[in-house]
Amino acid sequence: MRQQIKCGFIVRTTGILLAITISLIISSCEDFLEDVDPSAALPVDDGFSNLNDLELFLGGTYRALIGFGGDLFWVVLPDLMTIDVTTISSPCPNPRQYDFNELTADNGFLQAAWSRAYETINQTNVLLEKVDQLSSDGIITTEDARRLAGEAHFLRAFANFQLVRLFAKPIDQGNGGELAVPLPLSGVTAASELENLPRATVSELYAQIIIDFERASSLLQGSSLISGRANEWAAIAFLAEVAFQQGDYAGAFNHTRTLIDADVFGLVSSPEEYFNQAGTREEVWSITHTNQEPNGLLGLTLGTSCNSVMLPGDLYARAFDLIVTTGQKEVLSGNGWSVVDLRYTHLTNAQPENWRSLKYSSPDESDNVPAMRYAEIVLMHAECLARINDISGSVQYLNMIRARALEVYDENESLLSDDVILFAPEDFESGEELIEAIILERQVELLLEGNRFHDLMRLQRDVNGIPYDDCRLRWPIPQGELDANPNISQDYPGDC
Amino acid sequence: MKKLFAYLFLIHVWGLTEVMAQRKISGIVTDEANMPLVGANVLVEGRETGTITEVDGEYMVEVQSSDSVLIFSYIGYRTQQIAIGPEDILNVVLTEESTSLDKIIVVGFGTSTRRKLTSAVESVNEEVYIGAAKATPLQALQGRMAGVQIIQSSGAVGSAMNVRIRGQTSINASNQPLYVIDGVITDTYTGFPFFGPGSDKMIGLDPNNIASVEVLKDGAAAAIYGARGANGVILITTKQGEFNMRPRVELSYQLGISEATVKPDLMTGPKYAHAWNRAVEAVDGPDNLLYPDPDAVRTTDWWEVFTRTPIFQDVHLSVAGGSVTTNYYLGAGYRSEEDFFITKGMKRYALQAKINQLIGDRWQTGINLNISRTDRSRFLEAGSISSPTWTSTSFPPTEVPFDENGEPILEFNGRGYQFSWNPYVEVTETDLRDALTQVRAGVFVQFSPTPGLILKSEFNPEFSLLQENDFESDRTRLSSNSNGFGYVGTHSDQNYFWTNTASWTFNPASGSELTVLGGSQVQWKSYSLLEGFGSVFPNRQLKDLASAGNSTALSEAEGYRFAGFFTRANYAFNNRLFASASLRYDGSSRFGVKNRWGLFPALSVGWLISEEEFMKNSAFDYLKLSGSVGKTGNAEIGNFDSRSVLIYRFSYQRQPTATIPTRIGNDELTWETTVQYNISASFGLWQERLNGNVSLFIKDTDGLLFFLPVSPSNGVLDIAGNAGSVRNKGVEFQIGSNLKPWPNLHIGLGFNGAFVDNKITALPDTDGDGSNDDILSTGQILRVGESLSTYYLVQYDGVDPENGDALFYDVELDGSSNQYPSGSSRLVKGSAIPLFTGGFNLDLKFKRLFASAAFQTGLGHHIYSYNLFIEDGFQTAFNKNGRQQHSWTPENTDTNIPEARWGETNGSQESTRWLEKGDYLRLKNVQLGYRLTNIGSHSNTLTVYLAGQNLWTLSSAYNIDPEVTRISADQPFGAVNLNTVALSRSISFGIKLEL
Repeated sequence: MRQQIKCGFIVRTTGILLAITISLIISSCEDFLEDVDPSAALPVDDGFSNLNDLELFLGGTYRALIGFGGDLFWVVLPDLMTIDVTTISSPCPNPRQYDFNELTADNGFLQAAWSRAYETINQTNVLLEKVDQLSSDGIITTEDARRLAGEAHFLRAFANFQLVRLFAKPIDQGNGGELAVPLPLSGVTAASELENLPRATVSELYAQIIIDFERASSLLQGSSLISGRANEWAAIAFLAEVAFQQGDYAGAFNHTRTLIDADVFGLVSSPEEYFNQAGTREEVWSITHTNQEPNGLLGLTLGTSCNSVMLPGDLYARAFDLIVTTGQKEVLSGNGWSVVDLRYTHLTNAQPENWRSLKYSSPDESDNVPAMRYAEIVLMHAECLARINDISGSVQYLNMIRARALEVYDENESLLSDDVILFAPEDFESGEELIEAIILERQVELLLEGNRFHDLMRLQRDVNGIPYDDCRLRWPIPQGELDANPNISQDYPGDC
Repeated sequence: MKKLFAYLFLIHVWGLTEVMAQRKISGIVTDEANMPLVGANVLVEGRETGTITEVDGEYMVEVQSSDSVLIFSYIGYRTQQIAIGPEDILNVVLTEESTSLDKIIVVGFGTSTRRKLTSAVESVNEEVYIGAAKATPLQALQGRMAGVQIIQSSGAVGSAMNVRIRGQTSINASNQPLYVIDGVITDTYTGFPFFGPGSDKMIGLDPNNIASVEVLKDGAAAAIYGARGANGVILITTKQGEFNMRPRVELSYQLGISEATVKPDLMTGPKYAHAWNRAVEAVDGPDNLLYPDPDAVRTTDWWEVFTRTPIFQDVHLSVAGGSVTTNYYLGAGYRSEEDFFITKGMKRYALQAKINQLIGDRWQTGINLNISRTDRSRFLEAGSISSPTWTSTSFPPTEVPFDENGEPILEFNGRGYQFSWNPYVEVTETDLRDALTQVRAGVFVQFSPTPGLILKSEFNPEFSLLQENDFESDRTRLSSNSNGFGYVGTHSDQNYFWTNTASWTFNPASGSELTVLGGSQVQWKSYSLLEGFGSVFPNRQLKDLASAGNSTALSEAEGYRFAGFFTRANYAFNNRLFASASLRYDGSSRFGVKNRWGLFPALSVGWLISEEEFMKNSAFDYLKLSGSVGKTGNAEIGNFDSRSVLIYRFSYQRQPTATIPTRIGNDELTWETTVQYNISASFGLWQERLNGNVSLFIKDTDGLLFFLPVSPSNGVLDIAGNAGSVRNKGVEFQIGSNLKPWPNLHIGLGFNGAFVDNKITALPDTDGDGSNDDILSTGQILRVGESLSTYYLVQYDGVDPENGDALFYDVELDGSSNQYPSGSSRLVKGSAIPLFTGGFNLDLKFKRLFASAAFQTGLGHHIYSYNLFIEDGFQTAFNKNGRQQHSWTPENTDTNIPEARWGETNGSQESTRWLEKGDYLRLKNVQLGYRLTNIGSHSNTLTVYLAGQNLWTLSSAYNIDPEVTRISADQPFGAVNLNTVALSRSISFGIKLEL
């Protein structure tokens, strides 16, 4: 009997000891497995504790604009859809589809552009939520909160503005009911927050874009100008462009007037200076690149890979050659004078057989991408004035651009005054004629800056022989979105 | 296998013994290789008298008429009892003691024998390496083992091997087996090499040091490796000395030359010019031809420019031996191998040392050290359009690499030129090298307190350092804008294993045995990366970043950990019934906090029917049935895929930033599991003149590690999760035969094969509509009911004889053909996974001559050839293949090659036009050798041989090597051929001296 008790005791004690040992081993193993971390990442919960964290995350929001599918796509690919930019003779399928206006939903470029735009938007949504949270917890000051939120609103509006212009039907006045793209307004950091959003309408997109730019301009009021970062003026400039894009020239006039009166920006002395030097007075907002943050697309504008684009030889006759009018040419040749367009000689390689733009040609892919520069404000303003028939006012602004770009030489190669190639109000019989001159000037001045395609949409003109409202000019909803999101479908009419 | 060939060879055995007086019986005793056995015992049964054999194995013994049996014995050989017949001459062949049933086989955490084994394990020994390709240990195993598919990803020297054991299971995780060298899980993958993983995991292991390779194929065998065994396990055991063994020295040398197995069929200059003229004429009319006088066009054979006849050599020296308490093995090897592509090749230096020491009766300790260095000069391998491996040799034949002064031409321009750069400059002025230094070490201590109980603790550190260097001169394509490009990368790994086991063997009854094993194993691994990039170099000689005008550096580190506990019991009842059960509990840092640990059980049973009484007199030497079921896991995904993190890897305006990664975390992520059922029957008949094995298996993989795509409008692309399932079921067989049609001639035949039916049984429902969703990738599809790596392509329907248009099957036009088929016309078109893989080998021995041949085959699969896409298309100026001469013209309308049209996609879009049948049969290895023995002493031998690799191939695939595929080693979308290097065929001479 006594022995049985002893035995039971031993068994029980051993059992308990074994259980303790095993649980100790398991829990220490748990620690052992837990104790390994990547060197360049932090748990998402550790990343939003203070102002510095939010600044880093704001930087990441700008960073999301950069890279494959990022900012340079938005300036190059729309132009590639027009006849002003073309692919090399044996294009890869992705750029070829843009060049030939045969976009399909599985095009790798448009999928990348879509994804990157939404990465940016998600960053802004998360940032806005965290700014609210830390601000109401008193961890960051109201001033910092206003600045961070202002930049977030700005970037969200910018990304949505790219998406709505490329993936949706053009907004014709009074008609915005067409389905555009999803409009996420809350952030995703964990699997449980994933959503399948339907497409919002074009007007919903534009309404949100205007709200965001307006909030950005008010929240950023008085904050300092830093190259590469959003500022109140850039927000106003985009409000102008949004209005311009909708054909709301009165609205665009007011916003451009505000910018011109503010006298914060101006034209630099030569067309190439802006592209060779960051942070000039002409820069309203650019997305900055360094060799650490390359734009990644040297091959697209300069390289010899099948992805690269070039300028078609006939663009010279169609645009560059028309900048100086027949009348002006007669005067020039009568005097034995000649004219040089610096945008041809300094911003392209000036070889029409193998014609390349030099706007993004630095070997380390560090060229900034001009999201908004003052020359565009000037040209917008000129056009708005022309549209209200203030021809002399308009000509004055148009001449600012021409005076900078064109140089007149006599037969001895001495620089002359360029009065001869400047316009006078009496050169134009109507506002319409002047508007055409401005549009031509935009075509040359803003070449490969992602403007021409949007101009043609705004003016309701054919692109590459295709009517502006034809669905072949819309970027289809990417296949990845169609596959993963049951609430989205491609709803083009049957002809596409 | 050769041991199976041996059987008793009797001149005369039966018949009634006549009543006779005393007489003398004599003869020769030899081993199965017909070598005389000196000093073998010959005894007359029932008496003390006997004799031993002389120098040539001869003996003479006196017997009485009453004696009926002679007993022949020799250490290490099976004793034979032979009835005395009427003849006076009795020659005897003794077979080695270890019969095929009793051969030792290495299994996870122990050894077993064929007799006891209840799971599916395949084994080969060092003999396969004589005369075989030895750049990596896996090459020599190709085609040798049923159900084990070993494919080289590229013919480039030392490139990665893709191994699939019993089919393919995984979609986003690796399909490669687990490699275990001398008991240690070896994950020599070094971080994220800048220029791709490139080399084989095992490249640092000199095959000359390998004693045996075992492949654990079924779940029961692999389950002891738990969460990492789902793709099967390859156990490599290196050589070691034995106690009480006199030193044995082995010296081997091999020297060979090689060339490519496939030289692409491309056009000469004039043919090329004619083809282009036709293409231009078809589009622009006859007035605008590129080559007004096509027959006068010159030809550069770019293949000749870029290839050479390379040599390779392999030297190895080893010493093994042992005293009563110590044994050792020392090996040193050197291999150099050139690639047939100029400037490329590898050199490997490997040292191996293994020492075991007994301390008293109960303790043993040992150390094992393997140090290797592998230097390679390489190029950007397959899969890249800019890879020089193929595009350079297909450069327009009308161009020459040098101008009249012998200087390289730096820019070529012409219509349709994809590149303007000179491929010769590209290849010769890109200097891409890597050097892998590996140290694999192990120490153990073992204690046996009582017989049968063994406690062992083993610590295995492994270090590897991969250094990559790249320099691209200012004249190369990528760096012409940056005045030279330089890269230096150092990838360093540290991997530690600590394994503790206790095993206890005892005999509950005679003929029965129980072995119980218990243990724990932890692994911690970290890898770090340090890399630098430079541009703007002063000249082409200065390649280091120190001279670069502009340079940047970065470093990064990662790691993972595993912990596991395991137990196993093996029970042998009466030497005829066997059972084994195992359990492993594994945890990994890679998985979500909620699902980090998993349990992996296995059970297997075997019945050696031939040991039963009723089988005693049958023709079967052995007959065994076994069955198993086992669960294993796959954990081969990213280290932090389960975690929600912010990444701080990218800067903006040179300031650090935080971004949400495009893959967000999932704390429920866990391993994918495979449950495998296996039934096997193995047999030996008529003294193993015929032996074989047949296995049936079903492998169900569930909860696949999956990157589940999410709506990109979330700003996120995917999450890692567990979804979908795959079933592999198949039949495997292996049949061998040993024949000895007349004295001294041995014929061994072996045939193995596996039919594997691979099917996706479930896929994630990503769009939430309640059904499995197809997953598409370029040209391929994942769809329930189809196999992994299924092609999904528009069907090419030949040429419209009226106008030369390429035609495609158009689903929307009710199947009629159309030049531009509607977008939804893609169809399921076969798979990249062979339905049947197998091998056939033949061994001949005649006296001292030996010869062997091994074939490998894969049947029932397809290869998508991007090479043909480039060669057949007239959008680029790359050289066209020979069959383009037969394209459609108004005169030649009966053809399936569409009219060549400059710049147009007449047929050159993705379609089945480029899908080639993958079926092939290849003579992997052939050997002819001569073995000299008794040089000075009985045991000294000298072997000389001639060997050939890949000498003959039967395949219908055009212009590509059917055996290599681009496959990223781990992913399911396989067998796409883009600029892959063909395997080389080689002839070598070798000698091996054993003292």
